[in-house]
Amino acid sequence: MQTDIEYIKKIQTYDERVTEQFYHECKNFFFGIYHQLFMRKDIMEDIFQQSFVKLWTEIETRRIYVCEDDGMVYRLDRNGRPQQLLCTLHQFLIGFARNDYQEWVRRDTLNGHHALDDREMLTDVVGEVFPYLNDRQWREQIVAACVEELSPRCRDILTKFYYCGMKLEDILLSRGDSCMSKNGLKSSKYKCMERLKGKVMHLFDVYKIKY
Amino acid sequence: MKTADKIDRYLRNEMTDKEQQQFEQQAMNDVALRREVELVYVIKRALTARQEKLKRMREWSRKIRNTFLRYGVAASVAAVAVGALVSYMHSGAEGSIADNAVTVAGVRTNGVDVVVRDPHADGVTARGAHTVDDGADSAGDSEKVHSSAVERKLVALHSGASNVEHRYMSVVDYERDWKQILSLLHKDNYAELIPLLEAYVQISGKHQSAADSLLQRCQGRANATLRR
Repeated sequence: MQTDIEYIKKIQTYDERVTEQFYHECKNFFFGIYHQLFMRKDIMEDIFQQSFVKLWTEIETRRIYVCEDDGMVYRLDRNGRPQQLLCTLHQFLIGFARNDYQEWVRRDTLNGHHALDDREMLTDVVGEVFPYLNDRQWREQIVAACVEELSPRCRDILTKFYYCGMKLEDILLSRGDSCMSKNGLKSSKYKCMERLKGKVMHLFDVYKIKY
Repeated sequence: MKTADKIDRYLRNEMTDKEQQQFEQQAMNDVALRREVELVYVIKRALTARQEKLKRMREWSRKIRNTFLRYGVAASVAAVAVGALVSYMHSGAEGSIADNAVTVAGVRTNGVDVVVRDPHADGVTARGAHTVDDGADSAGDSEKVHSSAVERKLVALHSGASNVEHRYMSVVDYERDWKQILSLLHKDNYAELIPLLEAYVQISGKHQSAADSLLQRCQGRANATLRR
């Protein structure tokens, strides 16, 4: 078992073995206390996966980082200012899980209506810190954060289109959207993409990221 | 065709070579288009990175599940084996007979001979027993020794102090008896120790020579005590 600082440093250097170890530790921790926090047990695995990938991305893109000066762990807050992380990474993961859980419950309650699509994105992405991060790294951090904040539906469509390379017809089929046409999906995909690009560009402007 | 569609086709490698060349040429001259392509490319990379992470997490989960499964199977097999052994020992101690012939492999390789002497001497019947006499070793059948449950365990048959027979089917039994000998030695209980040792020295195994010398020492001590 390693300390949070060691984990952060090694995950940021893409150490696969340590990342895997961190994953198992987080999983054990999460499953150990999950039942105390949440009512629904059937979505436990999904919640964990979503939360862990967020945490992992934040560490990898240096939104959570170890300050070289004082050796403490910091995270950029919603105003882009670094704030010392006063909890452990495990506890932080639970925070993500709680948010994800609420999203699940809301979506479930709304019976498939993805009202969260219109949710305001959190603007806690970057600040005028880290002179050692270049523009490319900044851009990646912002885009990764925006992707994480996408609605699950939008993320699913975009992932299937850009990552899996699926055609719109196949996406339609795989999602089981019987009430949606190909053009409807195309329009949804376009809107999702525009929304995502809008968020990204806005943050680029706010934080004066060269682009 | 819309610009967004063109960008998608370009990034998904769906354009022909000619189309691709034209598009790249267009992007070279159009800063806005180039920025747009770069932005979609960065988004695509972020989506890819996210999916790769999820993929690796699934692999790790699978790996740990397989490890648990492997250990679980091994533990189950071991538990069944121990259970079977205990069951055999229990049934043998009661003198029960299992008619089912079983294959005993590896008895010899463990360095302990299977010794079954006249089973009728003490009233225990060992049907279908494979008898190994001092000189008569059925080498041909050594790999597969058909034996009943009675044979599969060590039975220390005490039929009088001088007529002790041991049937060893495993190193576990052999070692167990050796421990018993040491325990009796520690307690200076020569009355029980000597008969046991007398039987034990007849078994070829790793403690045979030690048992031999121990027997001589014990007999010497026992005689000295008697003289006193």
